[in-house]
Amino acid sequence: MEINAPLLVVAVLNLGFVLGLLLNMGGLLTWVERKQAAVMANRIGANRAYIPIPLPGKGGIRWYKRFTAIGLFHGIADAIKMLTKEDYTPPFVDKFIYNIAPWFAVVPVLVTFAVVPFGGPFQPGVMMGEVLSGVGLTAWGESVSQFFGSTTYQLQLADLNVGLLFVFAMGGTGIFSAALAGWSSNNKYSLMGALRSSSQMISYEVFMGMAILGILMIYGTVDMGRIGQMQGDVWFGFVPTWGVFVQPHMFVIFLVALMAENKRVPFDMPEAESELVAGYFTEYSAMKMGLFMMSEFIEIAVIAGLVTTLFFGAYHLPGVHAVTDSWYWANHGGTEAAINVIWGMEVPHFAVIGLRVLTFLGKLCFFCWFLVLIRWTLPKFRYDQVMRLGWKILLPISLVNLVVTAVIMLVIGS
Amino acid sequence: MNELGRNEEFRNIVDGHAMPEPAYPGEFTEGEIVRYYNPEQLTFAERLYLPYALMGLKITAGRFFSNMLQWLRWTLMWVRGKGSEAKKGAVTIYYPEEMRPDYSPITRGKHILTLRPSGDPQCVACYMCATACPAFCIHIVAGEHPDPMIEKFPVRFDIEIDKCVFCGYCEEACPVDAIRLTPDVHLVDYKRERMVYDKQFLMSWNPTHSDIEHIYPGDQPRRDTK
Repeated sequence: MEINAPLLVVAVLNLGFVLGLLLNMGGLLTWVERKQAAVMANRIGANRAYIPIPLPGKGGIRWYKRFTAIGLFHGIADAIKMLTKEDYTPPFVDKFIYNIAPWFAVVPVLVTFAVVPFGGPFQPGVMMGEVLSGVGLTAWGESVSQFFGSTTYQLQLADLNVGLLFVFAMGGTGIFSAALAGWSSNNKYSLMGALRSSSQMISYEVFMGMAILGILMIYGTVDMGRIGQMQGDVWFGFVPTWGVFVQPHMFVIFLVALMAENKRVPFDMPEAESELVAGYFTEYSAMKMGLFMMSEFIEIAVIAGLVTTLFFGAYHLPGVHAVTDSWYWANHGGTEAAINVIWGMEVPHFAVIGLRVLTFLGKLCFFCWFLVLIRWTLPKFRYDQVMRLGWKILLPISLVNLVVTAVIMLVIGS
Repeated sequence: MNELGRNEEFRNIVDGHAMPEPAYPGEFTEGEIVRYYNPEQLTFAERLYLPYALMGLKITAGRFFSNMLQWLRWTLMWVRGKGSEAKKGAVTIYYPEEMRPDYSPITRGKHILTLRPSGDPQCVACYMCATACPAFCIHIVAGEHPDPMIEKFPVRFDIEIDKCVFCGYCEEACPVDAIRLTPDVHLVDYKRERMVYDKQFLMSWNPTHSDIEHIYPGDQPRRDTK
């Protein structure tokens, strides 16, 4: 078997980027959640955790204890606390399933992001050559260019042609975590939480798929990389071909469904502190509980990534095109006309790719902010309200949208 | 709606059919199932939920951005060295670095022992405050004062401030206005032993930094010698 070394290098770098992004977002979002809630409520928020800095002082070392970095260390303090607390396993639980359940919470969430394109197609050979030559390492640049060649790779962990189906598959796996955790805990509250979580997530997955079908019919593919590419154009010179301008109502429904999957307020039926203690992870302690919490926070970032990719043009800004955008250049003068361009200026390849990654991160951060805003604004639904909203309002709207989209496409196509 | 309240007009609906008016409130026709309905109170827009959710988001997001803008101004003021004038983007007090300046002057907090011009305590060790204290937190040891006009003075005067309920009865019981409660309420410590305030500490209040700065009652004669 032949090993494709450049592809391996790109894949490892992508993996590092995605894992680093998600795990750091998971930690940062705890800070964002605390601080944003505080600012929204005219408060200051958590800012007491500090890292002591030794300073020379009278009679030895004086410890400076005001370096709090506006509360950023609270996430670290949380992590230390959860890692060092007693990991207590109650005697009445089913040990094997109880121990395996937290992994079902974290792994699907992390894996889902693999199909999210965060920078589109790029040519690492050209890019690294430009960067290294720019800083004066021309010889290195040439050897790196030679190593990668002029092949196009994806800034995406797995450019699966079943992309979106993979997302739904992993979303479906997420149900296992709550169900197994609640069932194995042998606790009424946990079981109630597990039941609620299962019914809620299964219900909302139905029209999460339905909501996205209309836009999939328009794109004609479930490949996330291709969906990302297809949003790089503009209509009439100013409207970007983003999914949200195609089907804004479906964006709302998709976001609602994803929020229900995330199991946070206003859809926190499975956890419902006021009713079920902590829901399906009542019996968990230390880092096992931490894994459930972490998966929730990481899922915020994943949701933001999915919404960005499907509805908000992924890594695209209007007027920014890379030479590697095969879909765009096929519609605009063929591959001979392909250039790297930012708002009419021809620029090096790395500038476009860098701008794209930053654009994606900016959109991601905006949606993380928006989801936290929703969490701290809306009150919790009642359980019957969640079910009514899902089956009686969102599902019919999705189905009607599907039919209408199909009819419109048929009319336009013929 | 009538004097029986809002549900009265729904009482007459039994399974969707009208039934005769009851003769008196609470009377039902026998054998019928009476169903009560709460009137539909939500409007269509409210039942859609989304418009009102957006309105709520607008309020909270507006609050978020205005506070963030204020924090930005606050940061700029600190950068320019005018940190003390800067207004925060929050209404909360960053205790204990900041404290509210607007405690009422009659707030009952830490005790003080008022002084004579000579610097001795005004107290005559009559045990009135210790007797009046509902928390039994005042402990006095009396001694004979060298001045025959004063008779007694406290050799020890300890207040267990962690037991004190700040009722102010000691203040009221005192015949010579020797004990008072000041607005200082930030009485915290890491050691329980240090929560017992002795005579020296109670006398060490700084008369120049308080609104009770005059030495009370000065050179006036004792009440019983008027």
